[in-house]
Amino acid sequence: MKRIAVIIIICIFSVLLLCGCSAESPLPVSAAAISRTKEGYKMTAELIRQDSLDGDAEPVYLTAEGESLPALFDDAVCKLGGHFYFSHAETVIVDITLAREGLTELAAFLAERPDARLTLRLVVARGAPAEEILQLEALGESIPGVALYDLLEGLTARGEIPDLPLYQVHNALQNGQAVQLPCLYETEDGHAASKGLAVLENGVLSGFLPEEAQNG
Amino acid sequence: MDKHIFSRWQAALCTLFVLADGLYLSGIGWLPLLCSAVVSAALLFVLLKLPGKLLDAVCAVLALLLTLRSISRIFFFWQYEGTQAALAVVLLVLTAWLLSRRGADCLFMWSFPVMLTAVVLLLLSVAVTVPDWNFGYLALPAPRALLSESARMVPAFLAVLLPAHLAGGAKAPAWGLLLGGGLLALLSLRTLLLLGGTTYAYPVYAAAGLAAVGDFLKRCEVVFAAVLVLCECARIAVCFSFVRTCGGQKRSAAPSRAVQLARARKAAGKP
Amino acid sequence: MSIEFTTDLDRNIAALKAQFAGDNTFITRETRSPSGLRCAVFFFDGMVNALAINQSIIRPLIEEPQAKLSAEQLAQSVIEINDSRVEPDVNLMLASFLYGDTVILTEGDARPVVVNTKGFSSRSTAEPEGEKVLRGPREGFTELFMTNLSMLRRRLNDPRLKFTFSRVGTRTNTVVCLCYIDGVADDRLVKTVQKRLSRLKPDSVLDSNYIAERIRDNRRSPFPTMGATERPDVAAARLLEGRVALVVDGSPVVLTAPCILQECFQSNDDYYISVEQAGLSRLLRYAAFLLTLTVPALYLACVLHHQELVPTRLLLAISAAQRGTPLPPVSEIFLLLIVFELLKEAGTRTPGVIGQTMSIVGGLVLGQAAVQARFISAPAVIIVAVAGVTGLALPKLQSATTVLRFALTAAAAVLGIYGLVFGLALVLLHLCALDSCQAPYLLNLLPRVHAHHEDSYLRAPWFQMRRNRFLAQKEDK
Repeated sequence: MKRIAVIIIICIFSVLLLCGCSAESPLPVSAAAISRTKEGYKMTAELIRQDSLDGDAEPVYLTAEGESLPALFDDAVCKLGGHFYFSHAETVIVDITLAREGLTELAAFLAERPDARLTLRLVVARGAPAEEILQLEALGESIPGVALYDLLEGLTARGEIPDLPLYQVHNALQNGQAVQLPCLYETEDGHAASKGLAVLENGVLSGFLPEEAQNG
Repeated sequence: MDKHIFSRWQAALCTLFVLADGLYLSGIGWLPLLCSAVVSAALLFVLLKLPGKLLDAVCAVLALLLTLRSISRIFFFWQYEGTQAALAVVLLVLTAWLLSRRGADCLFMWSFPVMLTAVVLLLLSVAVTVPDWNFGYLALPAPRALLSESARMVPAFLAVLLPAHLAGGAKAPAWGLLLGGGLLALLSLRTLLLLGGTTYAYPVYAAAGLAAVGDFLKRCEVVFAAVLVLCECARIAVCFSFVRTCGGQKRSAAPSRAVQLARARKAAGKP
Repeated sequence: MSIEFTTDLDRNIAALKAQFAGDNTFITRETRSPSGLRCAVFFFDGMVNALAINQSIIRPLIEEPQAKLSAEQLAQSVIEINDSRVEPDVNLMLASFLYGDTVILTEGDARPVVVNTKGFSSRSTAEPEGEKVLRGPREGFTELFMTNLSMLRRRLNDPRLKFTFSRVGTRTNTVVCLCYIDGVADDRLVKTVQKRLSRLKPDSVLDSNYIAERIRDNRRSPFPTMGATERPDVAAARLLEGRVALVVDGSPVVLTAPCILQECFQSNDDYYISVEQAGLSRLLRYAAFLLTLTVPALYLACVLHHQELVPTRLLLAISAAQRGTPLPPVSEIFLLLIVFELLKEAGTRTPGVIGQTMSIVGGLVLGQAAVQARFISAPAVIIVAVAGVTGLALPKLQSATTVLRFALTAAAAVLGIYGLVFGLALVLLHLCALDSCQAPYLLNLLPRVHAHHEDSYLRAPWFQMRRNRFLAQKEDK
């Protein structure tokens, strides 16, 4: 009995020692903007930080670069010391350049990542760089990325934009089907809004649908 | 063979045994899965008629291969690194060993509530995703593909020979195989209807992650996976149990009190 | 003890006095009647009914007209007490004597007469603190052996109710009574318990737990495999269900066997209140069992390994609460679990009002202060409080839940939900392998191990209880 008790105590202390090291305060990613650059890819990730229970959560932005998509995410992971929590990201904004080059690779990459949600939404930034759209001040919400997701969810629920989460986009692009992604632009008063749909054929941006057309 | 294991328990362990393959299914094989489950259930009766020593030898080889396969595939599924990877595998093997060392009748008895819980959780996971099913993805394989795919899956299902031989019956294991096969087919069908034909590393697991109840229960694929990992653990335990019996140890511990009591009641004509 | 009585009264008195030399409670009263009858009355002060001795033993002896009497004549014709007998076996005589009986020796007869004059004080048969009910009988067992047996006999007015005595403990010589209803309890069960009792060779038995720990199955298991109750109604109900009971002298706790897991989820109230209320309460207890085992483990699994499961806002709140505290979540949870157990232990050992005050100070004030001082995080306090409070709903499983809570929390800390699932699987396996006096521990809970369908997960209304004896081997005619 004594031996068992000693073994149990040793096990518990080992667990305490082992797990104590991995304790960390995560900064979850709420949204990200990915754009194409000459060198490769650039990602601006919006992390949410909350220092106390009394205070509000506030966004923090991290920029990462990489020649390829895996390198891009590796850079982000490195910059956060290994604690890049992408599993809470709900929205990824891509810029027009990237959309024109093709989103098949990005959709496949995100769908295969174990930490990415298959329900996250891909949107195309129109009229402004993706990272600017991401950082625009939101109304009624302190985190712009969360506000963007709420906006897209609301529009989807009302049927104003097609309900296309990542896994459906990935499936359609894999099968060579046309996809319509919502577009985001900056309003005159400096907020993000949805307008029109970006049409992707064979994974490449082929044009936009005007707002009137989608309503009709 | 141990004759003190109730048929329901036999079916339960065989179901868990079959469900262990759940994590590694593709989304396209739902119909071949059903067909091969039926064919395997029929073949099981034939295989159990093999001469005792031959059957023992076949099962021993099967146990060794299945153990190695189960451990390796779960190692790659977990994607842990360093110490945690080793710790995870050690815990899995330790759990399986502890499950096996109580004797076959205890393992079979244990499997019944585990099977019920597993089936309820898996069905719940499937039910929650029903609104997102896209029946446009539903496609029936061509007859030739169906045949070849079914034939390919039959050997995997026939591994249920191991718990069937351990239990000493064929009828109940066949029912267990059919239930397990049916559930696998359902999981595969769900994956197809959600993800289409798109390739993922673990499509069934990915599809389970789409289940959501409100804002709280999102990304529950780990719960789904935990159930199937437990099935994998049960499979390794069956292999260990078989190796123990082949290694000259008693096939099972003396029939548990539960068994004795139930048998006494049965003999007395009570329900 | 070796005393050899002779026909010489003086030598016998001297022998007994020598045996109990130094014991001031040992009283010797010599009597001589006018006719010349010489007797000696021995008893222990404080353990006897003095009035009975004065009026029913000493007075008749003094007034006895005959000059010489044998022990039989003394017991049958002189002593005016219902229970008086000649006891030639010195050891049995001494056992009775030490237990409050009076011994009478007479000139010319070597055999002592033993008279039942027990008269020691005892507490009342008040409702046991640990087994209170909202509705139903409020009587509890006491430390008095015969009183306890009488409480059982009063409830089970059945001639087949058997009380079999044996003595355990080489020094304490404690009387243990095996109670069962002949024809209802399984013969094998009775024999098993008798066999286990006969094998016991302890030097002392001061409480029933001395015996319970020695004769129960799977002695290392944290789950109770020997039932215990302080309520005669519960003991009687268990006897009716085909169990056996062990009443130990000096202990208000009566042991019952076999003990199955379902019993731990039952409350005494279940059978005295409405079936709906009883069913709901029992469901809550099942939920409490799961919660108390898994809540800290699930918290750690989510916080350390599966953060994607936690909603973003909740994760932020947990993270914010964690910021600035010196301990990582694992250490916090383990530390708080230990503190909770300490508070529980202190509260149990501290009398009445002080105990309540200490619980409030420990639980609320210290917890609140620790959170405000950022010594620990608020979610950890909430989690441990939930686990602790839900654990209190199952008093019979407290030791099991305490041990398993730590083990499962450790497993979840190492491997997340996978660790927790492995742990729960092993707990279930342990339960599958457990027996209690030949009854499977999961009787009535695991399908195919049903013996009593009317009272398994939930109890049926009384009018549907056709077969009340769920362990009984034979149907009661």
